[in-house]
Amino acid sequence: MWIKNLVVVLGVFCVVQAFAKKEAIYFGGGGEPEGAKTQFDGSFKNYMGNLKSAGWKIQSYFNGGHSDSEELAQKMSNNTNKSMTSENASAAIKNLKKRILNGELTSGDQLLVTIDTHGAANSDQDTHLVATTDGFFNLDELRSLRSLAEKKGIQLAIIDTSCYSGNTLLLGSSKTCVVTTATASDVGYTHDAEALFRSLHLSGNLEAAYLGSRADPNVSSLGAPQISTAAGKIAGKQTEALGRRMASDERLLRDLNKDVVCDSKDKEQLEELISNLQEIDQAQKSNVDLVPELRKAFDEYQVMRDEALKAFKETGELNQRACVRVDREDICGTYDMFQKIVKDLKNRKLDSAWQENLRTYEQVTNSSDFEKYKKSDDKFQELTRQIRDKAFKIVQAERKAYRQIYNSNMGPNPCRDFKL
Amino acid sequence: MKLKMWKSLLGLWIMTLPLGVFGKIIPNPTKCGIFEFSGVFGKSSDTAVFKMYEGTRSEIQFSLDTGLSRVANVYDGQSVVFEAKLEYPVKKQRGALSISESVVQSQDLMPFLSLTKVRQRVPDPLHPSRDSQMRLLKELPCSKND
Repeated sequence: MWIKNLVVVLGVFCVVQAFAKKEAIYFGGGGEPEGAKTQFDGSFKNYMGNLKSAGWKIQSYFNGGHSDSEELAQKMSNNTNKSMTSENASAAIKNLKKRILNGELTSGDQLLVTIDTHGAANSDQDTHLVATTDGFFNLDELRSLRSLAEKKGIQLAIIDTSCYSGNTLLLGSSKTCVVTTATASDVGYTHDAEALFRSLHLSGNLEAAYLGSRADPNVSSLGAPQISTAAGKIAGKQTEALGRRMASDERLLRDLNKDVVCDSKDKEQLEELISNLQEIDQAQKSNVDLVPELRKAFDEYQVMRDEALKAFKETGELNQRACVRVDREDICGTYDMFQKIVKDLKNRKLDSAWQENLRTYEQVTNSSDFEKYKKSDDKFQELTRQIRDKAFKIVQAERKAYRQIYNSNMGPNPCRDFKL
Repeated sequence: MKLKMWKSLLGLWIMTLPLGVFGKIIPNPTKCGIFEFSGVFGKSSDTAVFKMYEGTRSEIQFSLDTGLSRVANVYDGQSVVFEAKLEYPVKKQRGALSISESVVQSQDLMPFLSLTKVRQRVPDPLHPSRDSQMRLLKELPCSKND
């Protein structure tokens, strides 16, 4: 008997799931300069392709005024795309609310709102402004949509990939999922947004897609992406001190016990992070001790920056002034200038007179003092290249620490319930 | 009458909106003159450009005059601080720069003789919003032909 009941319940569940609507609305490509394309074309194509293949019905508001992007938008949307104007964005949100009130979207339906355009820092808004083709759209307008969706049992998720999108996390709740690819205080890398969109069709739910994109080996932001779940808030809060630590650019984790002048709140947060990571490590018996990795990454980055600064100073001191006489004229400048002149002339087709001039400039760049300068400058160039690699290692270490903390605080949440 | 007034005010407000977004990352978004820029010299479709916030959703590209293009070509890919003239306000993430001062001597070498205004710098890749800067040094009237 109970088996019969279970089959009936499962059957009803499957029928409800099969008829639950999966609707997405995409706002993107606003505020772009003139030209045939926008920088959002790649992510738009990626998003539309991945969600359509997963059975989502998508209404896009993309671009407006760039010929290649327009063509792409109409192709990807089967000619239903509308321009990303401020009026259209507001009308789209109003229409969604109207449809919810009319019962066109009901309990159990899923609604995914995606913002993929330029964004501004928070000023007078609770969230922030994002660019449209003719101005901006205030994401505070999503608040009433969220309230209505939650009241009617509609699963709402918001993805914001614009700069300063961390401000949109405010719209997250126990029923609404929000994912952002930038922090509230910084611009966001394009690669991070694209990694999230790529991850959408590879994951069963939005939390998994978010965590998958955060594990992308080429992501580049420190402290982003972010998610509104409880675990996300804890992990975000505990790792944000790393970002501020680097922002101050004057201290290292190893300096915690030294007598340094620093913000006591940062210090407490870093100590808490280290302690938590150690506790998690012990509790999980994972033997993945992240603290040494974090320390190493910070140390190496700082050493590299210090070396680069030293090389920069030395190069400046060796960058002497010199003069040569060319065409009865004294040409005077620093070694740096002569180096660039020679490099420039060697890239050009020269007549015999200019070839003679080049040889005159090379008198400076062939001198032994110039050699010392060049050696120092080459070292500086190499160090600046290595700084990027070292910075990347900090980002990777931060992501591992974030994931450890996130995993140890994981629980039921609307992002996991949001099936893709 | 009241409706007309509101319409005018609304129109005026809408006209200032694009500045609202970019004004957050560019100080003095409506001004022209000599600025000190921090960012990276690079390429866009094989043309030398100067980039702020490179690789981010807020990347701003500046086209360069002939002299600055030659300078940019020899500094390709390097993080720099330099002075240049902005004749029109940055609009929708695009701007145009020219060498801030004309040097009379040897016209062919002019951009390089003003290289004292270009300096390399130590990059800060972890903080893109601080790694790119734009500071007004001397305000000049904007060109009228924008």
